Amino acid sequence: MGIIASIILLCLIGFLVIEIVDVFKERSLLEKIAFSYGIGIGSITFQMLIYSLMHIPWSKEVILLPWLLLGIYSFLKKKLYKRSLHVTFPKDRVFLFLVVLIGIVISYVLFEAILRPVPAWDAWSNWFIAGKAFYLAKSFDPSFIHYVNNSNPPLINILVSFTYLINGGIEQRLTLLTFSFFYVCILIVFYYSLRDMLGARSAMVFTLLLATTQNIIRHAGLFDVGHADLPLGYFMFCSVIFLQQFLRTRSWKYLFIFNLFLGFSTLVKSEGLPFFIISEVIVLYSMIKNREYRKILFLLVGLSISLSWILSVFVYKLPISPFIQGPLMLSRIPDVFVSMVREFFNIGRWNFLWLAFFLGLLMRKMFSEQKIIYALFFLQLIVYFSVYLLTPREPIGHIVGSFDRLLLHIAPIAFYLTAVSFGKILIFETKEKKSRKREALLNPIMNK
Amino acid sequence: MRRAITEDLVWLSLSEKQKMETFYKDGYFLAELVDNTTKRPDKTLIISDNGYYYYLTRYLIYPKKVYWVTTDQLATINPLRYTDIIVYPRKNMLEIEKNVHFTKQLFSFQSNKAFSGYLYTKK
Repeated sequence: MGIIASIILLCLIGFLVIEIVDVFKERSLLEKIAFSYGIGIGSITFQMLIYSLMHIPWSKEVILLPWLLLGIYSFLKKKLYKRSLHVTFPKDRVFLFLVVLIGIVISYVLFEAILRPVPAWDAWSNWFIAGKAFYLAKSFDPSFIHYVNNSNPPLINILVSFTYLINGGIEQRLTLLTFSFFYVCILIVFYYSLRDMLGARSAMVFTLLLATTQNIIRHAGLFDVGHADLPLGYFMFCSVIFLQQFLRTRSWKYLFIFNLFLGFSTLVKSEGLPFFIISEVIVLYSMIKNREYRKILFLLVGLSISLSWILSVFVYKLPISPFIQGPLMLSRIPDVFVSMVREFFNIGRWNFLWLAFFLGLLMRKMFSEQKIIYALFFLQLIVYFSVYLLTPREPIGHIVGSFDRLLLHIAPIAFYLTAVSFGKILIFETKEKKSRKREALLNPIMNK
Repeated sequence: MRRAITEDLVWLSLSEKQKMETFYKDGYFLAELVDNTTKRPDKTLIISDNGYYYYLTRYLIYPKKVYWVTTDQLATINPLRYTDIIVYPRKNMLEIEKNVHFTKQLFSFQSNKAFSGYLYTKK
């Protein structure tokens, strides 16, 4: 029960932030929960990291009290609106059938996730052991990092510690649910972001395709691989959704939440940092172009979250990633390129995602409003490409063992772009066919 | 599909300890050995060419600490810094055999030789 309670608490904390910022007023409750989970985890991580820097030991009370007070304050100020608590679903049979299919896939993933003990090397060597260590130390314990000599941003470790704290003890197997919940949240965010553009039924079809992608299921429930890649994919995807909302509306509220997600992504894995820099540069350029100089201050939100970790690295003298040390070996370019391209065609892992993505890319001129997201996607891909030019390990073996995980970070974004490309074509063609039919029906009448 | 369901049902029927034993196999037994029989786990060295045993043991017995070297790296360390040394899977390590400060003991998790190792304890 403690693990479920911690998931609920994380959602409540995130929900509180969303309601205080007063963003997504008329949106569905499910969509808000999906965003709330990430905001809750990020906020708690940031809070617990700051506590550690201030030498305040972690406990349930000391962590939850500020949120409780904030909740009461918001309630008294009537910031929590009744209208935010609604869920609406179309009563279309095909749609409901798709919902049932997705429900089955999600149930399978959640069931598989908690069936076996923590299975992956990554969990033993890093994520879970660090979570356990920090929980026992009641703080972000730098002596542990020096013992294992493996320094990663703290969000996943602190998430594990937080669930143990709320649970009141170490519960390794059920904690895996907190990771699977990222998968559920990605699907919800994905569906709602597409629904406005493509309609409920098409959005649900693409959501089913995303839900059944082999590699995503593997990371969401089987956990024979890393635990932080799908969460990073979630944070990056949410950042992109809020970036897009900001670029459309120019509202500071979207900019604020975008900066939260972006900042939190740097606390998940080091790959979040280049994504943070690229995104902030794009937003900065857009703000300067539109002469919105005041809004530049909101970038400090993301920057301060990110700096909390960078500061910790310096304060605690933590080791730096060994993969980004050394000169850029340009002679590797052809081999690295070929090996990376090979992964895109790995249908066993990705189904037809990447083939469809590149096909959709060919239609880019038709639907150019997504060009900023495409730019972001490819710049991040270039970063991954350069990592393999820098790595001290043999690059081909390194790509085989890790590139599918890196692709997972940007897979929800790629899926989203693909769905938009294809969905718009389908809608466009259906409308055209309908109007042709209508014309054919109307013409004889008109001619009379 | 049927096989997957049958396998899942088997997992459902197992206790927590049985799940650990079934899933981690000899890795779990080695962690138990380090946890229960070594003098001071924070002074235990695991010598193995497979990092699996070290990482799993380190994870399962934390906050107790263990250390690890591969057989190639053995020459770079001083065995006297440790109270217990485990060589797993079983392999004759001349560097420790020669050392008069340690007593040697054979342990085994199964009758198969591949699941046995040596425990060197400081006298």
